[in-house]
Amino acid sequence: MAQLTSRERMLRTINRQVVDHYPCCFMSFTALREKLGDNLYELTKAELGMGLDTMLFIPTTPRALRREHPDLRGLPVHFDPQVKTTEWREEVSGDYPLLHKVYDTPAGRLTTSVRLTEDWRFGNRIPFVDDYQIPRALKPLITEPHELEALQFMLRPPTEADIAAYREEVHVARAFVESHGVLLAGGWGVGMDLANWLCGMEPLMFHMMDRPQFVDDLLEMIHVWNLQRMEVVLSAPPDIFIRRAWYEGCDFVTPGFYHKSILPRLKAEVDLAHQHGAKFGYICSSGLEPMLADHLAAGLDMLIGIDPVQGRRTNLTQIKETIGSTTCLWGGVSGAVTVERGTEEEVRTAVREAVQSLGPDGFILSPVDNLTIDAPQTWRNVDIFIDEWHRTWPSEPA
Amino acid sequence: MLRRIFDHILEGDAPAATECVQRALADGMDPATILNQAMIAAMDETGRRFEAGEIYVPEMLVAGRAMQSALGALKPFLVQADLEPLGKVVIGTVQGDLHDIGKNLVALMLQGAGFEVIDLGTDVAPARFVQAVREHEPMLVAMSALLTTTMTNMSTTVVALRAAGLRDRVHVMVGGAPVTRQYADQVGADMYEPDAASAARAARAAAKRRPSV
Repeated sequence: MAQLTSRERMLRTINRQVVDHYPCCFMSFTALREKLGDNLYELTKAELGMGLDTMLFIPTTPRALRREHPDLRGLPVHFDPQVKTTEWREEVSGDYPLLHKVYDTPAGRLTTSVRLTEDWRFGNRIPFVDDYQIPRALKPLITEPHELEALQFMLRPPTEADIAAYREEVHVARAFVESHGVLLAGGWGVGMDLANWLCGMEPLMFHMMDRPQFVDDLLEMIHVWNLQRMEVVLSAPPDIFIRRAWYEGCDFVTPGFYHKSILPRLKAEVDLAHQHGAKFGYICSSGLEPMLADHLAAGLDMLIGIDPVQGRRTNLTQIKETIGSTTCLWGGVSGAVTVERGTEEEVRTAVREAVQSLGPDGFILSPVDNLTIDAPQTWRNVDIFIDEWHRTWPSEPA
Repeated sequence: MLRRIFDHILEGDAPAATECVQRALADGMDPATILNQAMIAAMDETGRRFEAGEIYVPEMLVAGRAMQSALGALKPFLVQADLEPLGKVVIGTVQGDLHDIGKNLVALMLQGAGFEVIDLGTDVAPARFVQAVREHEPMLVAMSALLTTTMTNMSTTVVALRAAGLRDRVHVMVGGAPVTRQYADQVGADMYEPDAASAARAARAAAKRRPSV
């Protein structure tokens, strides 16, 4: 078989067609992205230059410009114009200062408070949602069911300007991916991750057990918002649409709740992507096993983030056997433990084990879920990782 | 009544578990029997079911909450009866790390196993661990980290315990998503456990070979 472009290789792998060799596409590569000023076009070119498969993710808005939602890639998050926010800082004797934020909406007031730890990234400001604020939150934004009415004013559909800006970017992005032969990815969709940011992790688990209807109502609100955002992204469809779901494994959700409250909405989102001709990728890196049957039922095209070390209840062989014949499996090696901290032999062994268990068909190799540490050991191990990937290609191309 | 306390804790029904403990005490039941045969047994079963994949973190959290609530009702009677805990454990998430769910689960399971738990919270500096060991004389120090950038503070804490001449007096257990047994060996910990249930079981085993203070 002639050598494929990266895009062809990725799409054929996702579609379970014959490829020249199985792809290696890093699902996240923060250490490199930050070196390149958070420019996703440059990241894509740099990864191609390293011989990796890659994708261009749109919208490409850098993290620094996603002021209200740094950890939620995608279209801008807008509040209703009637929402007024107030923030202030409170000094606390002998402890970290506190930051408070109030959102006054026509349906009532929402409040949150966080500890301003030394490593707080956002100055004297609290973003609307972010991973970083969960462990620092003294009071999460949503604690009671009646607050959902006010929350509705924060989860508004994309504006006309957002839609126009997105379509303009798609035009540029398409020209780029076509000239470079890479995949175009869009997203992110979101479900329980947003619920965790709004409610806090432990409180959300208690709500799930004590007041499941409250969490179900919250998820419905997020789902409707998600669909509105998806419609825009899918109106000029990327090759794949990605939903982040780091908090949808069994470390955070019971399988029963997942089946009842997450699966039907996830399936609707997968169906919507398919109606627009896009494949659907789902990022979840831990607590996968009890949910696999539901992943299958949802019709996921890709399960992204399979981590044999940090992923709890993650048995590579079982995953391959259960969903590997229909769902493309993406990941296979721990980024933080093996690639960032491992020895050469550990990296090589991990790559071989990943392809033996998860591949070679319907498999995309990647460190999971990220490489963040810009250190000589990381870069040395990335080279070893890529070298071992080459060594595991078939000797005669298919 | 013991069966009902056991069941209510497993189901995570804190008010019902607490009410049953109060009724059992009012009926003159021995506090030690309530603790050992109902409450610790329920948390043992919670741990077993968790390890077997029959229940998950949210169910474990509510079981722990029910146990804590029931323990609140029982504690004055345990003190009155002069019942000693299995041992003391100082626990915390290491400096620079604010994540606490894993640490909280381990603390709950240790309490449920009969230990007195001194929870230092999150972002705990090595000096605070040292101070707590001096103050409480625990048999075990348990440290948690979620981040690869903060897990190095497990090593710093072990070094601080050694420098203070306390390392040989306590067992040291480490855990958290990026932590491995190999890493535990590297930092000089005695134990690595992958989850809260196994941590409680390992602590119990360690209590039997408690270092002399």
